[in-house]
Amino acid sequence: MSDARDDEVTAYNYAIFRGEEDFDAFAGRPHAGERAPDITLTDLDGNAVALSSLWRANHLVLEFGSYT
Amino acid sequence: MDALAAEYIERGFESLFIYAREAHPGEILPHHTSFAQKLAMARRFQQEQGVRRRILVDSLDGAGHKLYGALPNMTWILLRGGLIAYKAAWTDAEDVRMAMENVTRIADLRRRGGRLAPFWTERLGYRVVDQAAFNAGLERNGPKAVAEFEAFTRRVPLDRLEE
Repeated sequence: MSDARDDEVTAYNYAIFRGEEDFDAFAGRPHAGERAPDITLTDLDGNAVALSSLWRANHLVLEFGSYT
Repeated sequence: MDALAAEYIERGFESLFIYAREAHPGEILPHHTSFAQKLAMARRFQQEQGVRRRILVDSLDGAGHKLYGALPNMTWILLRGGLIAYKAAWTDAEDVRMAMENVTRIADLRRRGGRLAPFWTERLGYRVVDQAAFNAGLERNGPKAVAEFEAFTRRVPLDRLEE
């Protein structure tokens, strides 16, 4: 990775909590009624899973979070 | 949220936990420095907290998390096909239940052949804060997490909604 890319990843995964929440950004797009971004995630067995492969069959409820 | 997921699975809802960055990293539960470590933290979270929903882990750079707003505990509901039905800046099971009921109601109306026109709403939600549980979580993460949150709250005035 480039240094700039490294810096971006390090900033995202902050080591020190300083109140990183940006509620204004959340309030922007995408809005209800728009298409959801398709993202590819990894299950706990290491397999890639695209949200679009799941929303073909079901409505999806996505809770974002972490252990901490 | 696990109970809600189980309750609504027969109504066509799949509930997922998307594992993002650590919100309050500490010495015991630290911030992520590699994808392998992030995956290991997600597995540990599932085992130690007994999470029953499927957990999917975002990339180390938070690419997916950022596309959805990057807040620490959001909930989004996507309709079958990928249309956004609900986005909440914070997760509150009762609020999510109302949104799931609304999705179910719309599906029922559609089945009955009613003519439906979509409209957009904005609403302020409130959740009950369990401060003791939150503080216990910070302590579990490590002393650093406790100290950083204390420093943060000293700098920030009370939420203006409480004025």
